[in-house]
Amino acid sequence: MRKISRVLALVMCVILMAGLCACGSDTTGTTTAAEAGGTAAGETSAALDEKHDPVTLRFMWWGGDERAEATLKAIEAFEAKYDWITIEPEYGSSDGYQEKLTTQLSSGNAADIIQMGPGWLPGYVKSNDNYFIDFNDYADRIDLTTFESSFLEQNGNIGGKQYGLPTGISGYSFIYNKTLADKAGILFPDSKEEMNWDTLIELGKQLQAYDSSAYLVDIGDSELAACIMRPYLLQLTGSTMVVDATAELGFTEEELVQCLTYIKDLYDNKVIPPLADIAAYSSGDSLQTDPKWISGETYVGMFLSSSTAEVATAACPDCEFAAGYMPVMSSAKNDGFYANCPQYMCVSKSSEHIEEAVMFLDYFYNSEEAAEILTTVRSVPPTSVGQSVCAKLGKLEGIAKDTVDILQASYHGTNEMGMTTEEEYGQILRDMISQIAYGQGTPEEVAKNGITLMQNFLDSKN
Amino acid sequence: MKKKTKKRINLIITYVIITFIGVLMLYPILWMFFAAFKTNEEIFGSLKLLPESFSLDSFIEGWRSTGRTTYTDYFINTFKMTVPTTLLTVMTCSLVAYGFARFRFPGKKLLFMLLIATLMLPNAVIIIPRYSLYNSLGWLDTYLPFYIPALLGTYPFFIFMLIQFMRGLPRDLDESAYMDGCGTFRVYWNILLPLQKPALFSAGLFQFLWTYNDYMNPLIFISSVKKYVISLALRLSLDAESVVVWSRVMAMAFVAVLPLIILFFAAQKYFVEGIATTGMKG
Repeated sequence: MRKISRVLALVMCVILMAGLCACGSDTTGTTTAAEAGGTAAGETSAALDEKHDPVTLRFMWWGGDERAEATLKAIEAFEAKYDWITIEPEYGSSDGYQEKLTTQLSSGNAADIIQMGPGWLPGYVKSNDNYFIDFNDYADRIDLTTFESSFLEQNGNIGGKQYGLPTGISGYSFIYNKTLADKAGILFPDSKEEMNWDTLIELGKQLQAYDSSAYLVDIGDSELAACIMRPYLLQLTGSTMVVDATAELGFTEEELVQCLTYIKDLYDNKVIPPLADIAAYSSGDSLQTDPKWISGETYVGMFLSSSTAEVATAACPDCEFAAGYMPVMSSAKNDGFYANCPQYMCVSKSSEHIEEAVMFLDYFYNSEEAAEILTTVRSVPPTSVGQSVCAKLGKLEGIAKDTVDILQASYHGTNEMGMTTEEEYGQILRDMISQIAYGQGTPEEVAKNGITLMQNFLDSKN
Repeated sequence: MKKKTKKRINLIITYVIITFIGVLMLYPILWMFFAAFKTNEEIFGSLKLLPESFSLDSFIEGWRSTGRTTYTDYFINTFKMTVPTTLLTVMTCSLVAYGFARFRFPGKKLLFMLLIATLMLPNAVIIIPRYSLYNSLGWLDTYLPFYIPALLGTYPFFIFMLIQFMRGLPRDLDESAYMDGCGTFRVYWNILLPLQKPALFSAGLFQFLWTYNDYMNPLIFISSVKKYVISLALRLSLDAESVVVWSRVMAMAFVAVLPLIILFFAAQKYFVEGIATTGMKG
């Protein structure tokens, strides 16, 4: 017995040793590499124009094949120009991107250059204002004058610090299937003044009279929150839903009841499809995968972010689409809709090579070569360089550009950013809408309940 | 004679039912295969199984992926990750199982309880501690977070399975080996290991399948695209802001399941044998 246990102990020891050796050697390997990287960074920034030690940057973004291909090409062109810089791409789908980014940021190993969702930035900055650099501090490395200054102020700027650079111009818009609208005799107004919230209901009734299985607007709970509820309240009150400075709600219970009653009217008059019909497609911008949308015979219009307009119209190749105007009430205190941007570019402050990362972004935004490669893969470019190159190449055409044109020409609402764009708050809005959609309460009850939840959310933030 | 025809009819009915269920089970894979030849409108707009035309474009284009890293890389990465993980798991798990099944040592009950307790622990609970641990060890963006746990025998399910199997092997074999002068390790290596083969195979097969299909762990631990495994690569082209060419995704998804299908048919014997015998007690 004793002999057995002795041999067993020996075997265990051997395995443990093997394990320890494997771990040990590897950790020392990485630390020396990290140290080497650290010293290299110091030298590079000291003598940027003379001798260059190799620098590796990590660039993380989400997007489909087209965006990935163009971005990889732009990276190659950049690497050819600055041969001491290597850029390691880290791309994937939008699914799970935020979760991964949050884990990486909180454990301090995020990529050097990060594509960022506009809604997430305020939350990240609030939890730690040392995550990202302020681009104003690096104005000698990147030319920010090619952006319209008011656009920069509204996008990616928090408390005077430019944490993110907008990658393009987009915004919530309305598109409609012209083929079907013509067939049904629906005429959408072609100016902002003629389009108000009642117009939607009237047109919806008109369509129902033509075909009782058709709906005027294809919309799910998240778009109802973003394209109906927020603009409606913004127009009604002139204030954002949450006033961040005081952490108070920007609307009264009566105003919320009025808004919810309007949404209920949309459902009651069959202007929009029952939520149960499209529940499977209503999360994550996937309304265009609904077979009813693809067939082009059920839904006339759709509220969406203009950056997904091309995808939505591509889903039904036999239909002709047009950009429409968004509803505004006659006594509106604010336009409610506005042009903002689909994503930002940020540089993480913990990066060892901030200057090179900023240099890459300068190339990314301001060089004609990059603009020719990237064109509109991140929607209509925000810089004068990008826009002129795309215009020359004839890339500034199509439905996405039309929606952006309408937004820029006629809608100048307040860009809601801050507590109202946090996930928890958005969930409260979607829950209220679902309750209305499924008839689980009158607008009064739902509003009362919703306000309590929002108040709790705001209290938890103080 | 009558009995014979009755038997035959029974057999025919059984086969018809089995074939029907088999086709039903295989239908999703068939659909996936044919969807690789369809355009997006065909996939979403019609219910027909067969595509309007056959062309290998979506396989070729899909394999090319974004150009810089192709599916050749993703496949190599996948095997780089799964093969060592599987081998290490089988090696260490059977060793640990040997200890628990054949020896009495102080604290055995407590250790065994701990082992079973970790079996109950959901993966989601330990993912954050694991992430920060691997981060401080500098193992992120390598395959070490897969190798090292396998090397240290941290798969309680397989250990438990192998213990159960080993309990079924008669102790008389060990004793006669000791009588002939074998040491403890020799008994394990020369006597028990060969007898354990069916259980080892099924443990290995399961571990291979699970590692191959794993999405969550590679997503968290691997960040650079050139180290992506297939499960991550398949998600690359799915994005809300761009038009997804579904035929390419389907083509690659089909290619990705092929190794598993082949493996399953090739090792079917061991699958069943291994599962059937682990619960048996001698």
